[in-house]
Amino acid sequence: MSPRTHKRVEGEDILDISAADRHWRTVCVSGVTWRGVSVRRPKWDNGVVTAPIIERVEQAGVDEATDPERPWVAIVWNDPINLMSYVTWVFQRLFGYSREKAQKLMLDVHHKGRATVSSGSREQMESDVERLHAAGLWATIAQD
Amino acid sequence: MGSVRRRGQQVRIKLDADETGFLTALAQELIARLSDGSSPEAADPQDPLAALTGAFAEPVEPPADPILARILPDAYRDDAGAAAEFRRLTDSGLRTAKSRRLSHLVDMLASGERSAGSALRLDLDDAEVEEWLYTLTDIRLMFGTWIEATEDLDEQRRALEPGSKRYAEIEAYDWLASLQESLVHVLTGY
Repeated sequence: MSPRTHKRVEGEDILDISAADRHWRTVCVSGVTWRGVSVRRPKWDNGVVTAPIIERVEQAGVDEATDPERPWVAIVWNDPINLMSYVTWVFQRLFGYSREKAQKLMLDVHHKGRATVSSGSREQMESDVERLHAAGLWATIAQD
Repeated sequence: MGSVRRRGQQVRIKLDADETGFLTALAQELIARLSDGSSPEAADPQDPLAALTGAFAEPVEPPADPILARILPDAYRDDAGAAAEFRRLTDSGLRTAKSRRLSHLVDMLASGERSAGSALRLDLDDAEVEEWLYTLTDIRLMFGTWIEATEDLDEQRRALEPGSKRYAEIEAYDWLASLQESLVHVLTGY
């Protein structure tokens, strides 16, 4: 990762992050929207860490597009190439699902054209979709 | 015709010379495509950490090649900015991981034991079978996109002359599918 310095602002440690590394997120806490920055950790750590919230956005209310109450989901879409048995195995292997659950999700993909295969924070879904792409599945992230 | 069989802790794969050559050619083709249009940062040996984290990666355009567009799809359907940011952070790592697996397959196909009839024999453990599954998937995505595979290829084939080009394409595509299906089967029992 890039070298970072810490600044102290109002008693809080703030990460000083190079522009290339900035990944802004808005977070709603008790009806107030804050802006924070999340920092991507190395791949071997498999995730994203959120740095301390550093800015209060001067607007009350919730931004519909980034409402944290609405969970993020990873969606797998049907494609004519991937084998049903392989897709079932991928769901078991990546998410630890039982064979029954994995098979049901695979059949949803096959018959309905898509299935939500996991849900959680945006960062978790980006990690899940990256792993699904590594496995060759057609997957996207959306807010539920 | 190749075969896949479990022998205790190992999975034995036998491939004839044509099958070995076909898989090798497809793997090499995909390695070449994956190295096209990737960000220069990915190849910078001076900063392996940056390559791993994607921290300093430049923006990456979505691939114009329909094969790569399928293998490295947009992660967001309705948010081009978020899709671009995801691609910037993941493109190099995904390409590297996929290329590495493909190169490993090429090496295995070149190194395995050969019997008298020039058939290749490979004994894999379960972790290697998993790698084969991921790699065969990328190869099938390439070949399937190439031949414009649909879910009704069996019906299409019934209407074709056995000597036609399309018939041969579907045969080859079927062979890749049956190899992968056999590997899923030996790994999971289904």
